[in-house]
Amino acid sequence: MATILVVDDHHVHQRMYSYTLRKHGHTVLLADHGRMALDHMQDQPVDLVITDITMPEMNGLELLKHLRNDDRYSSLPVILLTASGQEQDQFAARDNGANAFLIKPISSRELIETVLTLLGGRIIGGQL
Amino acid sequence: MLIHNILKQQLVHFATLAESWLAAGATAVGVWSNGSLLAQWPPNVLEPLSRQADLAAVLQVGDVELGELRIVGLNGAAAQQRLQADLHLLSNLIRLEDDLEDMTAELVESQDQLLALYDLARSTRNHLDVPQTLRSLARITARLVNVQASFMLLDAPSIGREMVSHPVALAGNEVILELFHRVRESRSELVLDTRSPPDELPNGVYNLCVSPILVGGTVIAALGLLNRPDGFTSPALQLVRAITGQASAQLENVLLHQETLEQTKLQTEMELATQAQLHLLPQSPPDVEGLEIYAESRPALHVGGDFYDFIYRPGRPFIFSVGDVAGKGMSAALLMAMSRTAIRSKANFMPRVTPETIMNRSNDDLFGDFSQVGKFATVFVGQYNPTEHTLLYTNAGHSPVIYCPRGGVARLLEANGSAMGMMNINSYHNQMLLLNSGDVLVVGTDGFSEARNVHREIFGFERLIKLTEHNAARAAYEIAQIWFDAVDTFEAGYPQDDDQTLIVIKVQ
Repeated sequence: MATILVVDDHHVHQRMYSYTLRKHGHTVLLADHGRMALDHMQDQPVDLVITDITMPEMNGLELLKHLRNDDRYSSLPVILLTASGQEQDQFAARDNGANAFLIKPISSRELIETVLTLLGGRIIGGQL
Repeated sequence: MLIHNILKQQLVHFATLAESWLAAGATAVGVWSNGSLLAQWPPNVLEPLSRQADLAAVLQVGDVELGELRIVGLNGAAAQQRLQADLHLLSNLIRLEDDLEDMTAELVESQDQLLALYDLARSTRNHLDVPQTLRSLARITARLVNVQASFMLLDAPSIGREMVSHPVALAGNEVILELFHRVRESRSELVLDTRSPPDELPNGVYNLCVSPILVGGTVIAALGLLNRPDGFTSPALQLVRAITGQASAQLENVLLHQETLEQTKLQTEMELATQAQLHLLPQSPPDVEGLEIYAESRPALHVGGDFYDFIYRPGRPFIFSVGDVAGKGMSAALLMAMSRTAIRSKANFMPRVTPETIMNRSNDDLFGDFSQVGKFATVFVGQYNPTEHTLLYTNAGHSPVIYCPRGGVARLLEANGSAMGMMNINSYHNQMLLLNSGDVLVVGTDGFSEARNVHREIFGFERLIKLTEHNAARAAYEIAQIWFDAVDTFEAGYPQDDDQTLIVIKVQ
């Protein structure tokens, strides 16, 4: 199973995504914003990042740009989440190299299916 | 609640606690369970492994002992008391975290259900045709509940039986039907798995759930779900129930829509039939020398069994007919059209035509058809001779036919033969009536004489005879309106029960 970093300043959402991912056997790291996410990634390698767009300090798009500009994370799967569903968010996500874009509220089935799809091409922990 | 999981989830809190003890002078802090060291601070220090701890306390949540926190390098009663207090706080934190985890599970489940229902409603709302709706429900539900296959079976009186499977039929039609009958009878969901009695599960199916779908309190459909890897657990069943509730509303909409469509279609057909039947009746009476003629028909429903007709061609006598096919509605209308055509063709083309020959030949033609459906038609056929001022007529069981001589007493012209289609013998004979100036003949149908009021009394012949007699001096049109008005007033809001048709002929 994979190690997944969930980045969202909304703690209820953090808990819900974390619960769903852990239930499916993944290890979950939590961060409240992009800066904290980058700090975590210094300490521990992750297989996938799920990040909200709107957050304080460093938002999801800025985090995505950082990751894509860093050779270590240029091909790391990133799922962007938004509550607005606005087209410009989707375009920005695509243009900055997001692998998937989900609109909140997200069902656990949709979250897991997207994670599995993105991890499908990679061998993680010998499980996938 | 395994200590390993708790350590993993609460590692930050354990580490913070350990750091504070190290800062206070401890040389090592370790978490032990069943004689094994699970975590230690600082990492890689050998002390908790190498020698006996100076302080130790049990980490207990509720009645369950999860493990032990051991500290090396500090001792004394105060330190022991602090350790007990720290672990008490930690156990409370773990318990709260556990509760929060349960609440999160419920929240995720509720949100999943709401989103599933939203998905279902969005995906099915545009389907208003039954098979399409069933396919859509089966497909979406299979995906939402995560089963290998699903089926929907609808058995509604207005639609009949429809069955769909998605993506493949894991169970045969007979098995599905049997499962449907079981849930229809019990009105509750049926769950079968490998623990159920043998032979209850179809081949290749390791578990199934069939849920009844009620519309208006009646089980009219069932949703079947086959082979769910995680089993039909409580959350899955809750989702199934929520989906069947939504499916019930959707199916009710579809059935209502179908019913409305059928009604609209029927209404349109009836309106077309009304138009067609109205066109079978003459649009206006012919201009016959020496006669003033008025005719009108008011069906009780869209279409009826009454008819009247005028046949008047150059070189041929003037013939008219009034008929009433037993019954009302579409069947009566069809027989009415046949009767009218039969009479008209005889009147148009038979040599030496008279009412008697018309009726005998028409009865020959129609007896088979009428007797097959157990119906008949009363018919009055009249033929006017303007030279001799006579009316030849045959009355095949028809009433009321009222003749009123000028200034005289009105009377009924009784039937002189049985209704057409009733007997397979040609028993019709011509009757003759001398018509003088000012005489009135009204040939009506029993929609007048048998009209009823709110007390269920019938209008009767006598009132019609008197009406005709008292108004015989009036024009044909006026006499007709007096008949209609009198019956309308008598019925006084009681709905018209039968077709009302008349021809009024006044000799000029």
